[in-house]
Amino acid sequence: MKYIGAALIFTSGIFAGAYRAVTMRRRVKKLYAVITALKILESEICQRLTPLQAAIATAFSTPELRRFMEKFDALSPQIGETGFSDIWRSCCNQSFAELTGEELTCITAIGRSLGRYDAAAQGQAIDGCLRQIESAYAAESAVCTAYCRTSLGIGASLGAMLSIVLL
Amino acid sequence: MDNLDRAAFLLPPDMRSAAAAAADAEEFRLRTGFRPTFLCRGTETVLPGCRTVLADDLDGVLERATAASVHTAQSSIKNGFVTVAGGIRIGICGSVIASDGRIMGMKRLSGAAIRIPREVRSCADSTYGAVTDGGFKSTVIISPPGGGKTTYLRELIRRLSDNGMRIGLADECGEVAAVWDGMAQFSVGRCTDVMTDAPKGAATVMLLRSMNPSILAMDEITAPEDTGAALEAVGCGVELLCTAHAGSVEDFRARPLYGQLVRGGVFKRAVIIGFRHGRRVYSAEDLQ
Repeated sequence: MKYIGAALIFTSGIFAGAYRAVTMRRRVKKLYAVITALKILESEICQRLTPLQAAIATAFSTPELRRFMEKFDALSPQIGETGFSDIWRSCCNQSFAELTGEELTCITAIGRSLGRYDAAAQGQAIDGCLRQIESAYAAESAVCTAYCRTSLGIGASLGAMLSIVLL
Repeated sequence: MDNLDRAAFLLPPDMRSAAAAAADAEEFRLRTGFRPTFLCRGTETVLPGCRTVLADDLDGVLERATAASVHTAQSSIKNGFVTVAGGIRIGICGSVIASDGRIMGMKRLSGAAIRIPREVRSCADSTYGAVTDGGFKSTVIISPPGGGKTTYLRELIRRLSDNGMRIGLADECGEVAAVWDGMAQFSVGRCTDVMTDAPKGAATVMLLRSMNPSILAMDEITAPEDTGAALEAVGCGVELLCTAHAGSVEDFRARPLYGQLVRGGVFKRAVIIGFRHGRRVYSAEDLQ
């Protein structure tokens, strides 16, 4: 019985480490997806003058941003009835759980310009947001590369130590 | 949804019901710092129960008009208006962004005028006989702004066209035929070909080259380029049907913009739209 308990503790330690690593990787992936989407959105708006709904559909079509797109598809018929910035905020709040409060605020803020002003003004807003998200991505991906395996190791070690103490 | 409802929908949500109740409204007007008004037969009246208009409300009007894609309408915003479904034209006023003497766009909007176009099938009844007497000849429709020139032009085009005259319509602002998704939303007759969005000069050349019209129609000769387009068309042997801002035939003749057209004897007839006892009055006159 003791050995089974120890094995369970050891396994859960590994899982805890793996979970931490996966969360970090997921956040990095999400940041990268957001950066790509914002770049496409900017080019669709500023260079091709694509209508906003079509531009968003093109930019946010990756699997990482599926949740955002589902939410946007559900709310976009309300454009006109509800202000676009409210719809954008609602989509961001419900789709970007991996982002920090500051990053989320930054993405939400561009909704105040999107679709409302000329292409240059929208481009400026997206640019400002991109800079912030890109620096977060750079920092996070460096941390992720360095600590993903470490966190897995730490989890496993803690589990092993606890098991030994219990035994 | 009729055009009044469409126009009311463009307003901020809390103003819509008051706007939709103004059944005779020809225009809604929003000016920052003032309560919204509607225009009816030349008189502006405050929309009852509405608050003061804020700058954000005007941005919201453009957002709704363009389905949250203001950047797609930049070329018409440079000209001071946006046209939406139903031929509703939103005139805008604000701080102009200019570069090298060219207008690039507009920011900090200060006012908007939402025009509600309507078909008035009977408006050409009293003058149709005079305008077509001895065959249609080049005609100019004259009235001050907001007099109903476009409505009259549309009706005259419809009647001439339904009587078998091939009409090429250069509908630069999209107000006359209100083409949406390739379909004219106002009846402009069975023999009318509509060229939308192109500047009148270019549209005239394209229509002449490709559609072989017997009458060329265009709304609002307001710039020297428009006068050039009209002269070009006359030289090609087609009759013209245009509208112009002027209070009377004398005003029309006196305006420098129309000098070339007057001297060249381009227009043979004029239809003058005036107001009497709050009602529109139409009269036709020979210019020769």
